[in-house]
Amino acid sequence: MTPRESEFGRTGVVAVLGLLIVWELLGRLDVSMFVPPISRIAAAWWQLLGNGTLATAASSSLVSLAKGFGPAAVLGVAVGLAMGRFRTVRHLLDGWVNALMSAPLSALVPVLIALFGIRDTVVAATVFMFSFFVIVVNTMTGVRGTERSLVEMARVFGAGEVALFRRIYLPAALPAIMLGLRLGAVQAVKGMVVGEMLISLVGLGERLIYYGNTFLITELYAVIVSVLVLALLASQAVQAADRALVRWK
Amino acid sequence: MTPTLAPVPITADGVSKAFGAVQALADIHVHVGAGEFLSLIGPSGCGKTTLLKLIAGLLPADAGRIRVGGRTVAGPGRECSVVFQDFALLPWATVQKNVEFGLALRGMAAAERARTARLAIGKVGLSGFEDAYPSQLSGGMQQRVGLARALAVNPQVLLMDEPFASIDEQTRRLFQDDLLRLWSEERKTVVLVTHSMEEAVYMADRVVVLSPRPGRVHEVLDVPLPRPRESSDVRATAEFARLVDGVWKILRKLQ
Repeated sequence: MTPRESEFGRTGVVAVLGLLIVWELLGRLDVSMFVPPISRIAAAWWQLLGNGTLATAASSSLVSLAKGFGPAAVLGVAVGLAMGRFRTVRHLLDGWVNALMSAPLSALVPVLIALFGIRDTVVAATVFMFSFFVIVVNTMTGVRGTERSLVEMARVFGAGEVALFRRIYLPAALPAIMLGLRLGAVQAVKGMVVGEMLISLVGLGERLIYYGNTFLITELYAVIVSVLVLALLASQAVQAADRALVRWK
Repeated sequence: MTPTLAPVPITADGVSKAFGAVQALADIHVHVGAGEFLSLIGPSGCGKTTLLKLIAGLLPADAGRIRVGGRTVAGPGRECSVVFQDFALLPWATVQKNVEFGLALRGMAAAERARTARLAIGKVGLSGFEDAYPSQLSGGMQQRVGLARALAVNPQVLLMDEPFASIDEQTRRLFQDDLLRLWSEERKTVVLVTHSMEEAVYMADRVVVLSPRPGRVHEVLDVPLPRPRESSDVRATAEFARLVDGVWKILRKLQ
């Protein structure tokens, strides 16, 4: 890690700690029932962890996350590569990708429920929908940013389309692809929660709705914190893969 | 190591190329003899890089035909290597892997590839830098990698697109001399695109001056300077100055 990054990290820790202290104070002053002290949220979190509530909910959530994000990553990169390389494919799909990337996708979840029924498949589909487009767009941008002279160089040595993909376009686009996957992973966690909240049946999202509806505010915050941690971990995991793959930067 | 193949001639016969409404090249006739060193010079926009890409088979000609050795150019061929102005190195690959790139594409086995690449890296004076990444090297060194990669596949024709344009003057002179030395050892047909009049004269047997919009062969100048030039003070001679001035007088009228 470069010194600048670690310095930034230290500032970040200070900022988060500051916020937590203020929150704790406000909670102790009993400003509102919606701001319980952090210490009580932590206790609730510990209890939910102990009695298995979080583990059950999170394992269901993680399965949906994997089921949705895996295909989104594979297909997203494939579609992005094709769109970046072939103008016809790009012209064909550009409008759709742009429209769906900026659309409020939560509005489509009822359509998915109509399609799949109230099942955890809907959650996986929502995860897919949330993460797919940002992966496509980043991959496409990466491919299109490939230096033209690299392509010409490979062609002079006799590279055909397959060799160009494998040896030039894919490695050239890799940093952008990894960024897309990172953003996609965060989007995927969002999709997971949205899907689970809307079907209200399984996972962390269901717990959010339940605790929210029953005004168990500390438990609600404990689950929110768990979701945040999950999103961070997902992003960190992709970042670690990025560092392992893109060593030359 | 495969023996160095005999150099082959290049002939452009009535070659034209347009990009949309812009006529880049019109009715170009050029012959480069086997083993000859030819410089292409002209005002910017005269299509000299386009002509180089046509010879390399990277672009199709609209009219006319180009022959490299016995082959009529219809795409990239095994005879030609290209050295690019911006080096065109893979930033994600080491020097060794960059130099191996062309060999790998042509299906050479890994062990022989590694050996051939190391030899080429030695030729351009970069031994010891095999495991460095391009970003760790200076511009001059990066272009040496580009040259090593071009030479590694043992081409009969070396096409160079302003290879020294982004390299500082001192480094450039040393590099030019190294290139001349390699050329005298390996005898390849070389086409050098340049915008430097001194470089065009210093390096070449003949200088082709292109006129702009559309690019045509305006004049062909012989460079009767003795070789080897890299170990003498050719640049300090009156003859050299006279030849450079000759190129300048032509170019000035073309601007």
